[in-house]
Amino acid sequence: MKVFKWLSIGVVAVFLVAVTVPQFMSYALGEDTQQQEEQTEQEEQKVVTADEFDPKKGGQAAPMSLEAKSDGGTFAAQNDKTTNATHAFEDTKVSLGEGSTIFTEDMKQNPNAPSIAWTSTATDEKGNPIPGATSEAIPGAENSTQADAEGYQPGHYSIGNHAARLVEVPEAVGGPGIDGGITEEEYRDLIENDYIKGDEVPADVKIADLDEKSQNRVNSRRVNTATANVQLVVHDVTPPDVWVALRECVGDVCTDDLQEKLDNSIRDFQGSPCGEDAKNLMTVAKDSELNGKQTLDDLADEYKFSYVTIDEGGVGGLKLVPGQAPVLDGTVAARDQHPEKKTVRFTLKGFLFDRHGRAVKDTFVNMPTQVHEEEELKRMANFSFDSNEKAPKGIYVRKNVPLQVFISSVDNRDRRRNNTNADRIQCAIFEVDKHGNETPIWEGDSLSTAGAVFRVPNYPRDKYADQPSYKLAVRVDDEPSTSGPVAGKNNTTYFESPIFVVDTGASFDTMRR
Amino acid sequence: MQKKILVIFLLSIIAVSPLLAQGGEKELYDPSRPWITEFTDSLPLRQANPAPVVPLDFRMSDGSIFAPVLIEDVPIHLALKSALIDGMPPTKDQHYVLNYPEWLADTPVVVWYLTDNATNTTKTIPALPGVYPDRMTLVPTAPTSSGLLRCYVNRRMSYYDESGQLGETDAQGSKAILITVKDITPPVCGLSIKLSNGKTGSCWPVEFPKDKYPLPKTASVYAMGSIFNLQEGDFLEAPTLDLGMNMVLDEQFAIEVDKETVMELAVVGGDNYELDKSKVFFGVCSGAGGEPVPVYEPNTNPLEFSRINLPKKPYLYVDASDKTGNRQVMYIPLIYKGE
Repeated sequence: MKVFKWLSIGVVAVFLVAVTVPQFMSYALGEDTQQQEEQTEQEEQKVVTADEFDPKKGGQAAPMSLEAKSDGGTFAAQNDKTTNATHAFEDTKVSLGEGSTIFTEDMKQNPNAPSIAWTSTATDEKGNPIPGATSEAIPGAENSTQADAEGYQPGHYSIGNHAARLVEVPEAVGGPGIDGGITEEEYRDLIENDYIKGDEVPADVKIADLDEKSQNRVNSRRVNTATANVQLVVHDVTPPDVWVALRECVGDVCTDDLQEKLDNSIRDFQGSPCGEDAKNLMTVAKDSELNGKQTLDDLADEYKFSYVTIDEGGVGGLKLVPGQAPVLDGTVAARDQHPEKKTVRFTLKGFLFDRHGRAVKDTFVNMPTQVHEEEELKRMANFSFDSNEKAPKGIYVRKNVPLQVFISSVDNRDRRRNNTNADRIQCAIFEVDKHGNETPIWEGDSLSTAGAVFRVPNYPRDKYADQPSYKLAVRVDDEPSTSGPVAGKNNTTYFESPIFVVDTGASFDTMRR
Repeated sequence: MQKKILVIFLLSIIAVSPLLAQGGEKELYDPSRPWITEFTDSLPLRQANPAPVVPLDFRMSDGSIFAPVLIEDVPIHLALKSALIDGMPPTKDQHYVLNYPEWLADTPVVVWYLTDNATNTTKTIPALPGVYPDRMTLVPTAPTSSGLLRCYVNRRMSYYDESGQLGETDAQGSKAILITVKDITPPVCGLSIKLSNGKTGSCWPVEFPKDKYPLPKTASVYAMGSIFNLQEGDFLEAPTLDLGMNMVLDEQFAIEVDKETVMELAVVGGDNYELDKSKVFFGVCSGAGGEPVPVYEPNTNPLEFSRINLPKKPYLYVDASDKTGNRQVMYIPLIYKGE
């Protein structure tokens, strides 16, 4: 019995200590007031559920839903609920729609229209905003619950729908509620929560008459907000842009820095041999506006090389007039076409494409990019001289003269800013026997140092029928997608050309000895 | 028998058709809610997957309560207060438990807007990052007597749902507060001029650089037209004058007039917020700079120079004020070709 008595006393003592000590400590440390203040603010910021949401009660963050849909077909966007992401292909349109309680309340109760904004922010894969990237409003979507997102380069974007709606203040003391008056209810709230001393609500009081703390409380309670976000993953369906410089290794022109200059030029001109956008072409061509950037033609003149470029092009082409800056042939070269309408532009210039060593001025071929594997939806820009009648027949090099090959590439996944990783560039020269068997005689990411030397001529082919034929093949892959419907798949640009070895006696009037 | 079946079949179609028609009908557009489209009308009011909402608030960066009266173009330094910035990721949503939540993004996406309630137009405000992730500097560039400063934050996170499935979503928070942004930019009004001899021209200022702070605001002044002896496509430019009451243009902007000249004037341009149309004046004045001294009844249009006793240094002037009281006066020199 005694044990039970002491046990009871002990329990009561422990209870009293447990209750009083923390309070005392808190009082002693002066935390009480601050905590209470923060608690009050947290209460004001209470997150409400759809069932609880009261549109007449301001200062609340209302629930909202956000979904995407697109125009269907092969390139339709796909929602992934598990990752709250929408996967879309570049250059397609994705329609985003939202639903929220703050849009659907009875209009008679609140004539204030909601204010709706849609923005996209470029992020990395994890959702971190890309440094320097700003949030851009989606055009044409202001104050609409639907937005059409289009024109995005491959990458990740945080698409946000942001809404706010004023709470109607029908009977404000001292004038219109939104513009300056305060309601009796709001004033009483300030009194009850010790923002203002007194009991009576004055007949004429405006928000501006209150102190800052009270103003803030009133202003915070007059707006409801709602927000929803979705990660938009835009997948690349454009093959990389590739420049191939072909050079006979003769003369006194040093090529040590050619690769670097080619890399700079393709980045400066975003993969197009004459500028990213046809409209900018004339501007780019002006020396004063090049700001020290070297065009491909500048480099070709300086280093005496011929070149092949394969880039995302359009219906138009560029006219290259010797001694002049490149000009458009009258039509607009279009990039960023819908995936089903994407085309590739093939451009070449130089004397290595003519059997007599005469400079080939210009050749332009526009052809659709191909889906190389239908189910993978990845694109290939494929060009070989055999596949096009209008093109020259191949590359003509002289025996015993090393052939150098320099390759640069940019991809629109990197917004055409960076060169594609060198290990994605493959270049090879094959020896092809009579039976069509191909044996690589050289492989690498470029052929820029020693070059390939052909000792025995094989052209004209009928004269040197016993000699093998040769083929140059260039393949550039872009980075594979890491998620979504095309995870692990990439786009490819492929180019191949026969190499004809001509006898040294052939005349090359532009070569230097 | 076959006839009976056919009749029954037809009757049943007739009976069902109104129901089918009713089911197919849908009101696509509700005039009282023009912001809702057919697509969004069918959406549920809350996300079908977890989308946790986290409380968000902002204060001045020194910890004081946000003052709802801002001044145009004057930077404010704010601190965000939310678990989205420096706290733990949420462990539950309205109807979901989010187990083992982790932030995927180190940095949240923060978007600020300024909305003018009168026109319901919204502008994105670029936020300059501060030294700490919760601090940022905003420049409210659009004046408004009733507006909203709105902040929306989202941060990508991962979680495991109750079945153990790994998922990703965005935790998000939003906050808007009623504010006023006081206009401190004077109007940018100019004149469109037509002379009786057929010459025409215009002269107008453009705020440059835009949204400049600290004061004074500055503007470039442009002129075009035959009245300034310019060919089509040519223009004059007076760079960076102080935008205010002393916008005195030099002689290259001079307009030649004589006694026979009749000049029609129209005010062009306006204010970045609200022009006070009752305080827009133009005409001929004596001297330039400061308070204009009209030599003829202001706003007389057309001006007949035969009726005006021109002073020694005559100027055309345009004097405009906005509703906040910012005032701009621009002086264009006149050259009188006497008898």
